[in-house]
Amino acid sequence: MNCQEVTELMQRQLDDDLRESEMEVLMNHTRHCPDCAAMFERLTRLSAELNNLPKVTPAYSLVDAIMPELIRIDNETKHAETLAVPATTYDQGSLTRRTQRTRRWPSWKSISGVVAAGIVAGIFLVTYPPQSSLNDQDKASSIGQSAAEMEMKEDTSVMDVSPLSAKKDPGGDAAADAPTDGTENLKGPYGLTDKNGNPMEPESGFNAGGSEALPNSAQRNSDVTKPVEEETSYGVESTSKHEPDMGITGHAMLPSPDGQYMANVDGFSIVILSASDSSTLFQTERKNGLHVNLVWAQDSASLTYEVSLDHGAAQKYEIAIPSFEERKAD
Amino acid sequence: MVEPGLIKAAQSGDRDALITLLREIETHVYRTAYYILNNEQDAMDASQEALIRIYTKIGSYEEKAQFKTWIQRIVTNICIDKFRRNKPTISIDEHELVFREKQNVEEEVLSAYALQDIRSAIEQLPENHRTVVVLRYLQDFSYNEIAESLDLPLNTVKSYLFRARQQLQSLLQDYQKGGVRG
Repeated sequence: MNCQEVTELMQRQLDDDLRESEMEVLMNHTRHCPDCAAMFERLTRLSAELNNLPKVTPAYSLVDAIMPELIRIDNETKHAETLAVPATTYDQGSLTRRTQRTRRWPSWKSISGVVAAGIVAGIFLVTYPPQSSLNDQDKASSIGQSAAEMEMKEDTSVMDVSPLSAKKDPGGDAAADAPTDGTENLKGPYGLTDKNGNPMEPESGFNAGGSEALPNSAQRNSDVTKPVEEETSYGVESTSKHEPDMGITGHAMLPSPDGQYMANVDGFSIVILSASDSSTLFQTERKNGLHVNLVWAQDSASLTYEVSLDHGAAQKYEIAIPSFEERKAD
Repeated sequence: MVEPGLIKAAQSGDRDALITLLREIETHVYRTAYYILNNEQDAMDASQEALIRIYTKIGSYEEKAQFKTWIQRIVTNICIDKFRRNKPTISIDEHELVFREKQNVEEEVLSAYALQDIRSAIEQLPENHRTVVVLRYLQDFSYNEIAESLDLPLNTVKSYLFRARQQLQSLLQDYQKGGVRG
């Protein structure tokens, strides 16, 4: 078998597509052909790296973002069904066509709509003298409006989660009491300043979470400022020596709920310390991006954090306690 | 992945079910768009457009295709359209991107390079190769599922994927040798 054919075997091996006999051929060949062995190693490494690409998540809920558009679409469809009064016949054709295309309902539906509208129009004509044709239209559009209002109500129940997250803010007082000014507060969590010495927020896209952005960042600040006060009582100075000369001031410590551990952002990694003697128990590998949103699980069985990547996406990680095994969280 | 019962309910006009379904898939949709377009804002736009299309077209989904491949077909089509439309201005975008990345590199001297290398290598791939790679590695699709999503013959999927990986490994090798980045 020549090298070209073996390359195809390598490729299929990466996708678990080889039979055992083919696997043997591949292995025999690479044992004797250093070029192919090197190529196989590079391809395997590449495939592993591709598998490890950050599982990015959107910076804010896309469904919430399109909700107004969905409501508009719903109204348009309802409009087409309920408002088939004679006055709108000029565009009724296109509207019913659209309904058919989007919902694939059989045409009796639109026919019955037209019939129903005809009856409604008939009743109006009988009940009111002919000059009331204007009322007729008003009435029809108010039906559409109330439908829209109902949709809006439904929708707010979905959207107003953000005030809740503001209430959750556990360290609100701490943020206010902290002896640092606003700039310091920001420096703490993100640990970076730009060239003008201003605190550097993560890419705007990252927490441009619309309604959620404010409570979120408030919470983040206070989460981190609270432990700043406690830092002295735990006497943790060791962290500062880890810090590279990059203007990083993030020695905010986040204690675990059971009081056994302390977590800390140290430049481009997370450090977990023993709360009793401040020894470093675990340090994550360097990751390229700002480390934010450290959160301990209620039962102290895990610590999650996010690394914000360029272009504003974020990857979540979870560290299991006490094994200190780290994995990507979806 | 999405429960069949939820899809059925959404198709029969249960609006809450449809919204729940969209919430379940939005990350998958976004992930594909993000890696094909390599730009957060475009990915946001494309995935919102895809979700709206899924909302209006849910009735046209037929069970003979897998739901996840149906979704990916919608989002990849939108991305490829967008990609082609964006093309005339790409030289400017690229310029800005390179500039921004350079700044990051200077500020984060010690940070890992591998991720940026692999991202810029993916960006060099032709769009159809890139799409295949994204479905294979970000959605964990099989050859068949990729073929179904992109409406391509199985052999074409394989040849795109193999060629893409070949090209990526040679680009990464160049980067490692200190060749010109991006």
